[in-house]
Amino acid sequence: MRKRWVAILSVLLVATMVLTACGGSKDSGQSAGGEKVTLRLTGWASSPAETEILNKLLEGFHEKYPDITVKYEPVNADYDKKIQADAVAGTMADVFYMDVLWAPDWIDKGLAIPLDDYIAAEGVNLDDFEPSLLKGFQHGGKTYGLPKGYSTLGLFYNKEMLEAAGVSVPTTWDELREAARALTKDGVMGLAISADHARFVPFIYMNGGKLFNEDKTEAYFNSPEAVAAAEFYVGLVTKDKVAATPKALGAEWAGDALAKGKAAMVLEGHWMIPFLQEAAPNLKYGVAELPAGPKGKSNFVFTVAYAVSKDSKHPDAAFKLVNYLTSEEAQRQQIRLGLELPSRIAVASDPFFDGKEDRQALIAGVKYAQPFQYTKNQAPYVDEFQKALERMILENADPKTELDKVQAKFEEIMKK
Amino acid sequence: MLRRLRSQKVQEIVTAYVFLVPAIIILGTFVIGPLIYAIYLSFFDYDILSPDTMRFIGLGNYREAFRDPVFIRSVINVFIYAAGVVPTQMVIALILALMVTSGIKGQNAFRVAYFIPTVTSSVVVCIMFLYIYSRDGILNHFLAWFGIPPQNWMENVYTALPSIMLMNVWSTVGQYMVIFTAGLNEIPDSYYEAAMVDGAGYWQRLRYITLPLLRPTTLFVSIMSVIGTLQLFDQAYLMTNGQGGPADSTMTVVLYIYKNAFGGYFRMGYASALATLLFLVILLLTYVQKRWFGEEVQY
Repeated sequence: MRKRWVAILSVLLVATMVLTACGGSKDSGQSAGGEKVTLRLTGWASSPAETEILNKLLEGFHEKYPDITVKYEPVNADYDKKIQADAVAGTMADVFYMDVLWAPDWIDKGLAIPLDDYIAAEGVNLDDFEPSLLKGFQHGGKTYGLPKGYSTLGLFYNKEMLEAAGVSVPTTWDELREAARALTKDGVMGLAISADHARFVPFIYMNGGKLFNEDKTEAYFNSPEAVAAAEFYVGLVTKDKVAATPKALGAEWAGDALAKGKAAMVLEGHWMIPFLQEAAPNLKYGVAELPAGPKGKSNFVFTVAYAVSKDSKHPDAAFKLVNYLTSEEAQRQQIRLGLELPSRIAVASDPFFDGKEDRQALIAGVKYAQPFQYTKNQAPYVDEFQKALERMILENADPKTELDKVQAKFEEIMKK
Repeated sequence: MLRRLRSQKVQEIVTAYVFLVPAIIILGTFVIGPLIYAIYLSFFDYDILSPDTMRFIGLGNYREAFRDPVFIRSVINVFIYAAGVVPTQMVIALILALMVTSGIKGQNAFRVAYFIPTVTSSVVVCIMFLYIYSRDGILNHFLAWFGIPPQNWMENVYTALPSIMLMNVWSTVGQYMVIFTAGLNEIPDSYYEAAMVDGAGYWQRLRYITLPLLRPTTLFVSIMSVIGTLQLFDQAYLMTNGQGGPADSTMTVVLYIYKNAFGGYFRMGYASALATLLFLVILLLTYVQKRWFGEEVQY
């Protein structure tokens, strides 16, 4: 008799456990009828200031569209993994940040939906956006995201060090090398450069090379132009000894090396401006366009778009949000925060930028920049690219041999 | 009579299973199910984001693994890592355990001190060691006293892996010390008393009583330590920004699996095959260790 009680009790116990485990979380907030709509917005927050301004913009959006409520869900680490997991589970937020580097993969896998119909319905003029930014989010004649802002690379330099050494701001590769040589003294390195493909690629273009053909079916990682560019870039560290990696200078990253006064020049982007305000408020620095190579200027542009996800049940409302957040008035507010440059051409001439030479130099770069983007399935060969640069800079490996490996990896991936 | 016994037995079995149901459900859902599914996936070309393109390729993933230079490098790395870390860890853990059970003053304070790294989050440990290993870090300051020029520990292909090994020994030795301490406390004092009566010195007691009787503990520690080192992930990930760099010098098997599954390679099938291979290697090594240390175990 007692045994039976035990059995019944344990069944009950199991039942409660199972029920509590399975019950609960049902997606709420989507009341039927198409009247009141709740949207989820996700992205990474680079700083509390970004969250604050976004929340302020969202309040403005809610005032304009009282029927649409937006829940902002920032993700602070491993954002791309979170998006991919959500995509598999079918629980992606309605509107999400799409980095230009990931865009080819995410568009290819159908994470973002084409926005052309909504763009037409809302009367958005795509010509108002900086074309080199928009290009990164277009595929097969369709647009999958509206860029929210961008940064290019610039040459950030320590003004006092350049003055003390009697060096003018370099505008060509040769001047860069000679300036770095003159600045390398008293425990300071002329230039801090990272073994990083995101800094090196513009040098290939400046040397007359390119990464891909028009439809990105072929790559030219080991072209003579690319090899010569690598010889110059890597040679600054290994041969000329006028540059070093940030870690070799006891800094976390290149910007840190400039802030700590361990390097006189670095190649970084707009993110340096808020960083230097915090880390080295007394540093007198200037920003110039990247020095031109033998075949002219080039640059990399880093940009992020707002995209609408495949899981959104209210894509029209979601696009209204995208449109609002990338609108001219929103961008005029955002630039004052100083986190990135505006993707709308009209906003770039906002009075805010008057006399701000540092930002002007970065804005100038976008006119001839390449988007920071490869192809779909880029991660395996871009990792190989990264390792090739590490081997060249840290182990003095031969550029041609290393770039051949990258090319081979690209061809292997594309064949699959 | 007989029938009653039998029905009682059946009832007992049923009750036992009912009690086991929660464990079976939880383990089945989160451990055994995924394990079997991963082995199943290892025979497919499969990308979680485009499941429609899933394609059976037999042993294709396994064949590729044996030709993949990054995977081979990662296997070599974890074996170097295990070969360096496991013996060092065990010897130090045993010495510490002998010290904290020797009855010296304040032995509990020592136990706590040695155990603290184990309960510290590995993120915290990694950030701390990144400072220690940095160009201006404590380690280089210390070496400067001996006239050794500053090294760039984490950005050098020859020192990056040993640096992580050293950190791992430091952060996990306390855990194995505690296990050894438990093992030492289980050895009856009477053996030592008898040996002392026979005139055995400290080293003789250690050699002929402590070490042989500690064998089951040693087996356990060595198995756990080998498994832990072959599955190294968090420290390699955190110390190198998730890259296993510079130039694959700290790439571990699990980090490479992670990259293939979630790191933008979109190759869940291949990642599953690598995970299955790692599982087989660990299974084999555990078996070998059991044969080595396991003979004549006295409980």
